[in-house]
Amino acid sequence: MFLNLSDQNFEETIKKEKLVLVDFWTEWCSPCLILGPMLEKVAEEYKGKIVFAKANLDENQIAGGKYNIDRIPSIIIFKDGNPISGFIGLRPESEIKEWIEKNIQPKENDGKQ
Amino acid sequence: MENNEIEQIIAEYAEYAQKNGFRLNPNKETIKTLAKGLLENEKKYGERYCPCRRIIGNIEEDKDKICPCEQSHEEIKKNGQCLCGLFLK
Repeated sequence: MFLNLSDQNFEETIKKEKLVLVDFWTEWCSPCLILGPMLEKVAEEYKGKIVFAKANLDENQIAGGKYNIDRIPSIIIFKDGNPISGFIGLRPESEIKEWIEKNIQPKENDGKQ
Repeated sequence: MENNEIEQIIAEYAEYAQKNGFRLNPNKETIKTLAKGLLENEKKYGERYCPCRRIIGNIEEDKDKICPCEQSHEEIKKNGQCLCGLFLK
């Protein structure tokens, strides 16, 4: 299931959840319409590991501006409210999964003071 | 949004593509969605801005996002298509 983010709940959501993948999209961007269903499928496999969310860039200019989203689809993974990795444009499903795997693995110093 | 507006815009870009040595994406659904986005941006901002780029509402800063945008030639050369996939090599 995808969370729908808006300028109002964006910051609160990415800080509240440990790991959030955000898909910045718009209704008229064809690559976004191809990537969206692919991510929905991938989201099913990562349930409980990372939260999937989408933000319509036409309606959420503040979040788009803050994270310098100038092209779409733009996908960013946030960890504890901070962007840690991202990509722009279409990618094959296998590559997206590899990228997610790489970014959800706990780092050696995670949780240490 | 009228169908003839969409068809007209598609015809215009097909002609542009041919003149510049590349082609329009053969997927009708893809180009219809993009044509709707271009018309939507024209109504909203006054120009046919690329539907795959963020429009900030500043004419000077947004001018290089008008389709066919400045970056498209380089993208087609490098990636085989423009960012949105409207034009292909």
